[in-house]
Amino acid sequence: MTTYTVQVIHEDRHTDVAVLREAIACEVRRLGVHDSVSVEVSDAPPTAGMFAVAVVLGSAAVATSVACNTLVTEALASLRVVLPTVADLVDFTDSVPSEARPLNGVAWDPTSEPTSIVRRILEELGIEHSQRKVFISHRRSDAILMAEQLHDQLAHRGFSPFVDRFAIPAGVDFQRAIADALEDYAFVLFIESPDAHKSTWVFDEVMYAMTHSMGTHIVSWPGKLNPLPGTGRMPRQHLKDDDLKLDGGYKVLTDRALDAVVEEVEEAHASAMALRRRTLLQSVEEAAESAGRECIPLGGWLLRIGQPGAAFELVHVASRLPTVDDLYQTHLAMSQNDCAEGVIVHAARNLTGPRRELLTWAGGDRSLVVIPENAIGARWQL
Amino acid sequence: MSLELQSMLPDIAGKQDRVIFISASIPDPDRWDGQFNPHEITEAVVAAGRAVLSLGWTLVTAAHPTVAPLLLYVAAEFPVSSGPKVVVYQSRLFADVLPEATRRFQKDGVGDLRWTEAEAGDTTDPQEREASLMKMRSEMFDGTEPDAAIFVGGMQGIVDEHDLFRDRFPGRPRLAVGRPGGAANRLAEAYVGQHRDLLLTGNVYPAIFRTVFEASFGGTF
Repeated sequence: MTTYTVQVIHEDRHTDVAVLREAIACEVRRLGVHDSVSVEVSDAPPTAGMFAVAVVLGSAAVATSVACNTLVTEALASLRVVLPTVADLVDFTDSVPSEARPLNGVAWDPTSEPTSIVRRILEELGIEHSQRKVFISHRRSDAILMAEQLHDQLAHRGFSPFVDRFAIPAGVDFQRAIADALEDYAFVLFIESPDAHKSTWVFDEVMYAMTHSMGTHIVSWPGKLNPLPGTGRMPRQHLKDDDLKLDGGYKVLTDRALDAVVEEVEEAHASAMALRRRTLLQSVEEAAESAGRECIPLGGWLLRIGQPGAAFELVHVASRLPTVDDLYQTHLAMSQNDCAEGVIVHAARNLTGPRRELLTWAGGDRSLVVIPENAIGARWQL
Repeated sequence: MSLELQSMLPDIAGKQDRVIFISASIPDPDRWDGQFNPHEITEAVVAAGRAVLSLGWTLVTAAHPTVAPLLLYVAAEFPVSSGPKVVVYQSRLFADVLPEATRRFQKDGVGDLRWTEAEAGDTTDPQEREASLMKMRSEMFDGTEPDAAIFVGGMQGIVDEHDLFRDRFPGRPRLAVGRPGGAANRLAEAYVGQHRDLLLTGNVYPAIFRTVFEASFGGTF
């Protein structure tokens, strides 16, 4: 069971905390992830290393509370997303602590619409489907049924799985082709069967995942196997003989083993999400703060960066190559957050050809800059 | 103002080329009883590699079945340069260590694989290979003369490489990253220079390397 945390910052709103707790529990059950995910809703700050978001239950008392302001400050300093909620956005400034006032508030009425912010909270925690896209790498000759079996069970558990069916034409740069295929996924599940190491593309799948902060999990069949290339000494979930059974000549997992694999995927996914966020988002934050800028997490993968008295910039961190939709969403977020320039930080890959031309065309004359991750340091210099 | 698309390599015209040695590995739990995190090790290695290559510098490393392919793969994502930017030294004693798939990086001009001869009588057994490893390390340092060294994860081997580098190139930066664990954590704890706390406990690896490279060599990226 993987545990996430929602820290609730409030003054004497214990009843509403209970309402939020119940609403989150209902949504987790609705998503079908309740067997593997638990969300703790608590006043206490989360334990270091726990993946968490903070929710402020706005009120006049919270607005003037030194303790609440301190908790918000600590949450922002930990690059934790803070969601300030108020009954009526008209009263926003008078209902939240000073440190939360630059953030985007959300209207929430616990009595009439208890579930309205739950989806947003779960998105921030990475428990929503869009964050749970899993690529299942396997060798068809011996693991096709196991791949389908895992696909079905992961879907049942609220993941969005995909079983690879690569068909890369000869002569195509397949490092780039595999990178293009994988970049929309947050996680790769490798089935290390006896034939897996023979796959033409598994090396590139492994390397892409490991060099782009993707979560990975290797399920290794029993017996003496050739390891997946490039995975020497990476941890694995080692199956035993009695974890497998035969189905039409193919080996598949027993029900117990299937549950055990999905449980491990859940844990690995949560850890990977936290590591990815730290590597990408915090890298931007540290570069900006080293240059004397103020950095505020706005939710998702957005940061507002600036200096008092100067124009703010909206930074969108994408863990893959940028798309036209990224330009559009950044442009929208700029106007919502009073930012003069938008910066899209993308996966460290060379941006060339048609994608570059399309982005140039779509960007038009907007104040947008697209930089690779490895150019972060040069962006914010003293 | 129109959309600006920056390239992978910041402006490096006029910047001095440097050679950075990376000593890293994922410990073998059968031979290492200390703490380590394989995912943090690979994350730190990738960040170090990308940081070095982003400056147009050259990476040097010994063959390790996970680390060397990672560095070669990262290098392959950069724009084509005038020559290989990753130099991998491998003893013929371990001819099978590198995945076959990495040989394409040499063919594509991304990596330069340099073989060293095994010492007579050595085997791949951890107790019977030290002479071949020492020969490989000596040739690696003689052949590349690194300006600095980075240490991540690892077991006794990286301590040996650390000590050899220190003795061969006194005064050149030796940067051990502590958080991923392994023997590098002990090196980081023993370190008394600038940015000690950052190297020992820092957990945002791209930021660590930006900071320490800037401090060691000046300039930003």
